Amino acid sequence: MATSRTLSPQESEAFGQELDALRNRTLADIGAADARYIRRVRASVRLTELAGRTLLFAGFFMPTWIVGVLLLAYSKIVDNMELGHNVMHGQYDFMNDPEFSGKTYEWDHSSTSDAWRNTHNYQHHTYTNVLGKDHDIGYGTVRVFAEQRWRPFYLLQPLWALLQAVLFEYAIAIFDLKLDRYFKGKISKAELAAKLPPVKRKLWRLFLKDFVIFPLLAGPHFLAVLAGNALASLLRNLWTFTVIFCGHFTEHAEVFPASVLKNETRGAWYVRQLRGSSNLSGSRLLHFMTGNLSHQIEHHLFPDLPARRYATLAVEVREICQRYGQHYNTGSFAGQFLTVLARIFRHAFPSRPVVKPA
Amino acid sequence: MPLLPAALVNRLLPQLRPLRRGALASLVREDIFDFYGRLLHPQLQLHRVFARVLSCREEGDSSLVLTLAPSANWRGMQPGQHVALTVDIDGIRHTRRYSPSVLPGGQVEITVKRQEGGLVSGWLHEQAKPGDYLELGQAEGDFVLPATPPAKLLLLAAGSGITPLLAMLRALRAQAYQGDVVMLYYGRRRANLAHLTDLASFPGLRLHICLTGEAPGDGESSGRFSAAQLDELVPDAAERRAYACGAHGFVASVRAVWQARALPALADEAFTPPVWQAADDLPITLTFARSVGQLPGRTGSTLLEQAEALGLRPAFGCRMGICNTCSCHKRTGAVRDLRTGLVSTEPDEAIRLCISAPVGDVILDL
Ligand code: FES
Repeated sequence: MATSRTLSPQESEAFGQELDALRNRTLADIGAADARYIRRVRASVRLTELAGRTLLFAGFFMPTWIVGVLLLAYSKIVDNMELGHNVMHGQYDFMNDPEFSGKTYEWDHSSTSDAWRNTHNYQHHTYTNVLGKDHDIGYGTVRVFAEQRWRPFYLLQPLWALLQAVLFEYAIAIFDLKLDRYFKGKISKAELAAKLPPVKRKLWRLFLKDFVIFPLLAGPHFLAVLAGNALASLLRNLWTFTVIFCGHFTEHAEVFPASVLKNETRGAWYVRQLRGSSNLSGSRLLHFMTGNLSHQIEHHLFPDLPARRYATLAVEVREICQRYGQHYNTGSFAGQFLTVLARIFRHAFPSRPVVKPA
Repeated sequence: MPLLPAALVNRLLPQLRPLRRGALASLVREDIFDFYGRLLHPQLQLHRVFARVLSCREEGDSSLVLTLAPSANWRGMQPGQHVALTVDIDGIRHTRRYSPSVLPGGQVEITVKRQEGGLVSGWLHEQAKPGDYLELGQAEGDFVLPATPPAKLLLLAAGSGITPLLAMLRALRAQAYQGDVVMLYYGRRRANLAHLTDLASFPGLRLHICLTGEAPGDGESSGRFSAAQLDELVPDAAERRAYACGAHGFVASVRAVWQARALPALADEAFTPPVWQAADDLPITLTFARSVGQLPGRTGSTLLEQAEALGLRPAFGCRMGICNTCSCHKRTGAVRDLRTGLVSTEPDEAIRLCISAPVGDVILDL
């Protein structure tokens, strides 16, 4: 298991203070360059969407159709990751621009942004990898840690995971409804019904847009547009699923019992964020296309700093971790993803937590 | 260079109504519409108003008068109301409120007084030029004249407080108002006073200039507003409908005289600058503009805790500044970010209630 040394309370406080200092230094430097950056990212999302859809409207001429699909997939991925996800964290609130306000930003994703702000920004980021509190652990369908209770349902989890990857945006959209808890009788029908309307509205809206309205607008090229939109959405789903599963379910990512939350200090919170997250190493293009979630560790330490800063922050974070004897979980995309797959297969079967040597 | 001519865009804007409301609105995201609209013309926006700068001229030694042509999305204003003007400085938007006058052609005239170290006023003085587009908000405020203007008026202005009163005067002039108006106009030095020529040309206006930081000239008075000065300059004040506008202290002293004498009908408006208090746990006023209004608060503890203690239920999540659930619009006031210790006095900005403590009076959209 992870090779991190256990920190004394004083040490974890000092660790947190070093990270706070790093955060404040970065904060003091945030400004025009970050604003220009996110405006450009948004322009690239909008313009590639326009270009991609226009090309698809031209019908099934393979070369343009493929370019169209790729442009649209690029637009959807970046809208989802570098733009939507990061703006909704309030990373660009400093611009005071209503179009980049974390509280009100809406994205081209089946999950309503309000639900996302609650399950992701609040629950997942506050209770990262805490069993029973962070519902992102396995998203209710996969068992990725031995600490999760085994049920026969998990035997087929490689299949569930594949389905989830294909339908990732819908999985996220209905994830907020906590259907599993409904079936277990933990929430009532009325509670579920109350949450339903905005989810239904958003699902319908995006479904109609990509699979009915735009294809119809294309007239004779209905099928070309329909297939192109479906493929672009599928690419986005597979990509985001892969990136997100690599963020917390790799080999050395740790899971925590709810008891850690009791009187958790700010320092200890930082330690948990570090140990529960994992990075991907790679090119600048990879970092960009993952919305910098390849720097999952930095994102979890500083969720409200502009993500374009994570690469620079990572150098210092790594150095701080080294001094405190904390494992900095990183690896290549393929390498990390293989460990995620290994977990999905291994924990489909009953498994027991490894007891750490004292 | 915009791709579409302004005249066409402004004829188009009112036609967008079906897009603004109704069935289509849920299929069209405003920010996406606005993004593409901007590519064609800066004023082609679903709701937002951008105004073209027509001219910039200096007034007095420290005021800049901007003439703006707002897009057809602007709903107009009553004289005395204020609007938010937003400028983009190095990619970051800053908003300040001004009281414009509406000119006969529908243009808007805004007087910007240069503030010492003022970011926005300094930027406007140095950078704004004809042809720029600035964002304008819709008009707000109830500091306005009644539908039928009273026969006798008393206007009390201090510093930038002149602007809403000037707007009222201009509107009265446009209506060929026959009544009797007295104005007391306070400034530190004569050179600070703006729009004097315009005021001098107003028919039937008796203007008293009062200087507080310089010896008065012929026909001028000296010293701050006081009951004695009012008696001397406006013996019939009790018969007049009065409007006062200026900084917080000035408006408070006018209000005090009106209360002490039980004079009727004073309308007033103050620009409240943040009150600086360095030490912890001092009393201040918290204003929850959308719900309960003004309540006493303290410096030193977070706005979230204070709002909850006062019985409000603002949304929150992590309570440690990471999830942004408690983010809230601050209209004015100074707050300290408890994680960084930095104080922000920027009006109209998003703050997180759970990690912000007031260091002076604060007005929140809550
Ligand atoms: S409650 Fe999470 S940022 Fe304030």
